[in-house]
Amino acid sequence: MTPPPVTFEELFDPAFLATLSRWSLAARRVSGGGRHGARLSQDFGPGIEFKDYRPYAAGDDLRAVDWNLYRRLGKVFVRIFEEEQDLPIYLLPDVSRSMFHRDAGVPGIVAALRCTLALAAVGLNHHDCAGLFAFAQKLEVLSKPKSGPSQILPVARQLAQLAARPPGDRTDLPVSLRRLASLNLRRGLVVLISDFFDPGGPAALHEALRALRHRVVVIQLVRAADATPKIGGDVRLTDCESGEATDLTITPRVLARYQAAYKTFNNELSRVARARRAHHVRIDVEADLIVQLAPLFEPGAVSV
Amino acid sequence: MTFANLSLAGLLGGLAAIATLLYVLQRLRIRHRVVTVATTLFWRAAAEEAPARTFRERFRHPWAYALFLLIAALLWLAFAGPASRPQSEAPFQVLVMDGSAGMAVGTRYADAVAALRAHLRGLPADRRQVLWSGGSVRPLLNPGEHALLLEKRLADLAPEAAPAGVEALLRQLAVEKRTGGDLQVVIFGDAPVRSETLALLPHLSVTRADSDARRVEANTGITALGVVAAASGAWDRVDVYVRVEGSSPTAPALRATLDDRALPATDLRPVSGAAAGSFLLLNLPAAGGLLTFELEVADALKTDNRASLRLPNRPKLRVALSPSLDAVLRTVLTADPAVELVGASADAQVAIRQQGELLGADLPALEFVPAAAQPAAFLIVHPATLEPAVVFEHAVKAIGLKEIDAMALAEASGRSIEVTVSTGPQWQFAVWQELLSEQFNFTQSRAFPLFVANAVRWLAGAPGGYAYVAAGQPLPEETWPGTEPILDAQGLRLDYPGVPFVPDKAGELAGQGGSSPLMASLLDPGTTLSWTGGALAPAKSVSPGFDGRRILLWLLLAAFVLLGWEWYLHQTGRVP
Repeated sequence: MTPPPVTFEELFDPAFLATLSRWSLAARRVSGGGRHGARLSQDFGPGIEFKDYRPYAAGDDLRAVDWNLYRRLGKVFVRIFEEEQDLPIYLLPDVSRSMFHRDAGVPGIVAALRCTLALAAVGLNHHDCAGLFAFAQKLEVLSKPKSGPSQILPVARQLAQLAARPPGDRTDLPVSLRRLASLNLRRGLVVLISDFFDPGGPAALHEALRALRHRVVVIQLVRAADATPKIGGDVRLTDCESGEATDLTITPRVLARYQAAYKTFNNELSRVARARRAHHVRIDVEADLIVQLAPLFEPGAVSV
Repeated sequence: MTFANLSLAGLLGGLAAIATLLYVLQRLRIRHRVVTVATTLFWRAAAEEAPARTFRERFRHPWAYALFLLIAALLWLAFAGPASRPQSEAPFQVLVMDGSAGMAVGTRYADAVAALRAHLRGLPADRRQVLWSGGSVRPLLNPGEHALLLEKRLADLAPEAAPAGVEALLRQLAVEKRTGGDLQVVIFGDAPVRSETLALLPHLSVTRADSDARRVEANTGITALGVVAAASGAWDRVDVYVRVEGSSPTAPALRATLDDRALPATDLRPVSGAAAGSFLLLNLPAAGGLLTFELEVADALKTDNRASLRLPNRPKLRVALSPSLDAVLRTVLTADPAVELVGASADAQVAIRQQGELLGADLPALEFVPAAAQPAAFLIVHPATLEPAVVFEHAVKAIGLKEIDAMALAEASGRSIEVTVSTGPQWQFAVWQELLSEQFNFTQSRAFPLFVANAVRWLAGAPGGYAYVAAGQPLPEETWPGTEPILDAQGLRLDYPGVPFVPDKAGELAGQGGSSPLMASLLDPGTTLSWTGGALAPAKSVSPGFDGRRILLWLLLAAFVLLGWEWYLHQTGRVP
C-alpha cells in the first residue's frame, strides 16, 4: 500500500501556520446576507462606518434617527451604516489521480493540500468562513463554510484524510463546477487548486467558470517534470487518469512540440483567468510554498 | 589491401548482409517502454505530427541508419583482418646477420645491426626470418615472432672468432628453399659471397644491406698454423709452420711461446721459396704442449693476431716381442724411432707373438698364425662395441694394407689375400705366419718395416694429433673410434664416428686431451685480408606500408568512438 504523500503532522505544521497568521487576504466589498464579520459588505445595517441618510420608515430603529437633522429641517431621517460581514471562501482542491502522480517527482497533492490549508487558515484567522469542496470527476462537499480560527484544526484533519484515501478519478472541471454552482452558496471566493489537466483543457475551465457567480482565484500547480519531461526514445505513454496509451517516438522535435503545447496551455489558462477576472497564481510544487504564496497576501497586491 | 580472414567477395557479401539487416531492423516496430505520465494532453498534441513507428514503418532515420551501418562496417572490416598486401604474394625474406670475426672491425657490427632493425620494420612478421651466421647458424627471429624479441636476442651476441659462413648458409637455404618463387636473402654484414657461389644458386636472390659499408682496413693476422712430423725423423719431435699475411706496410713482430715459455725469435726460420711471412719452427718436442703465436701489432682486427696449436704427444711405443720372432722382427723394430722394445711386463702397450703364445695375452697384439688356421691373410679383431665396417676402413687405411702387393702375395701363396674383421675381447691383428718366410719375400720388401710400424702404431692406439685446428674447417684426420671424445662446455660430444668435427669458432675445445685441450684458431685469410667476394646488389628498403595490426587498431578505435557518439545521440534523443 502506498503511503500517503503527506501526513497530518506534516500538514499541521505549527511553523507553517504561524507564518500564515501574519497574512491577510484583501477583499473587495463582500456580498450581503452573511454573518457578521470584518469585511465591508454591500448591506446596510448596524455598523460603525456612516454611509448615508434616508427618510424614516415605519419599523426603523428609533436609535438611528438623526435628531439634529430633524431639528434643522423638520423632517425625520435615519442614519444608515455599512454592515461588516464575513467572506465565504470555498476551497476546491483537486484530488484527481494526476495530483497523486509521483513518477516524475513530488506529487502535486502535497502542495495542493498545503495551499488549501493556508488559504483556509488566513480566512478563518480573519473571521471569514471557509468551506472545503474536493473535486475530481465530480465535486464532493467535505465541509460547509464555517468560521473561526478554531476550524483550522478540523480543516487540517480533513485535508490529511484526503491525502490518505485513494485518489479520485479523472479531472472533470465542468461537472464539478456546475455542481458547485448548483449548491446556491452565498457569493464568495472560490479557490481552485489544481493542475488543471482536464481533458477539455483550458476551454473546459472557461466554460465551467461561466456558471459561477463567485469571485475566483485559480492556483495552478506546476512541476518541472511537466514542463521539461526527461523522457526519450520509443515510449508508450499512459495517462494516469484515463489509462489511455499513446505510442510515441520522442525526438528533440517532439519534445520541442510538447514544450510548445505546455506553454500554450499555460498561456491559455492565464487568458481564461483574466477573462473571468480571476487571479491566477502559479505554484511550483517542488519549491518553497511560503515564498510563492506570500505575494497573494501582501497588502495591496491582490484584492479578491 | 587484402584480408586475412575473408575473401573480397565474403567481405562485400557480409557488408551487404549487414546493410540489409540494419535496414530491416530500422523498419521493424520497436518495443515501447511504458511510461506513466500525469497527462497525455500535451503529448497527444506533440505526437500529431510525429507518430510512433509501427511494424514496417517508413524509413524515418536515414542518418541513424548511416551511423549504425558505419559502425557495423568498421567492425566487419576489423573482423576481416586487413593486411597491407596479399600475404601469399609478399616475398619471403631471409635476413642474414653476419656474426663472423670480420664484423668486429670498427663499427661494422653496429652498422649492420642498425640496418637490420631499419629493414625489419618494413616487413610483415610472417614473411621474414632472421638468421645469425657466426660460428654456427641459429635463428634470431622466426616467422611470426615479434620484432621486440630480436633486441633481447641481439643483446647477448657479438661477432664471434669464426670465419664468414654465409656462403654455406646460402647453400643450405637453397636446399631448403620454399616452393614457389625465388627466395630473397638480405645479408647484413660484410661476409664475402663469391659470384661463383651465386651462380650455383639460381633460385636465390641475394642482396646486401648497406653494400657500401664494406671497408678494407689495414690488418695483419696469422692465416695458417700447422704441425707435421719432424723432418729430422725424430719420433718425438715435430715441425711447425706458421704464416702471417696482411696489408700492414711493415712486418709486425711474431712472438712464439710453448706452454707460456717464450721461444727464441731466432728459432723462427723463414721458409725459403715461400712468400714473405712464412716461418718454420723445427724439432719442437711432441709432448702435447700448447704452442702460441702472437703478433705484436695494433690493427683493426685483434682476433687474428693470436693463434694457438696443441702439439701432438708422441711418447715411444713400448712393444713386447716374442723371442720366437726376435730374429725376424727385432731389426725392424729397433730401427723404428717410435718403438722401444720392452719385456713382457705390465707397461708394454703392444705384444708381438705367434699363435698360442701367452706373451701379453691382455694386450693388443700383432699375432702371426699359420695360414691353415686362418682363412684370411689378415684378420682384424676388435671389441664388439665398435662398428665392424668403421674398424675395417680405419684399420686398412692406418696400417696401409692397400699399399701391400697383394697380387704377389697371392701368387706366392696360391690363395687369395683377404682382410676380414671379427670381434674379440682385445684388439688384435692376426697375420699369416707364412708371410714371414722367405717364400713370400715379404720381409725383404721395403714395405715390411712400414707395415710393422703402422701395425704397431695402430694397435697402440697412438694419438695422431691434428695437423691444424682451424675454426670453420673440418679436423684433418678422423677421430679414431674409441679415442677420447671432443666435448662442448656442457659435456655434449661434438665429434661423431664418421663425421669430421668442425670447430665453429676459435678457442679451446674441451674433452680431447683431458687437461690439455685442443685449441682452435681463426686462421682465415678471408677475414684477415677482408676478402670481398662478388659484388652484391644493394637491398631495397621496404616501406612499412600498412601494418595489419595497426589498421585493426584504428578500425576498432573508430568503431568505439562512433559507438560512444551513438550512445550520446541516443541519450540526448537525437537517434532512437
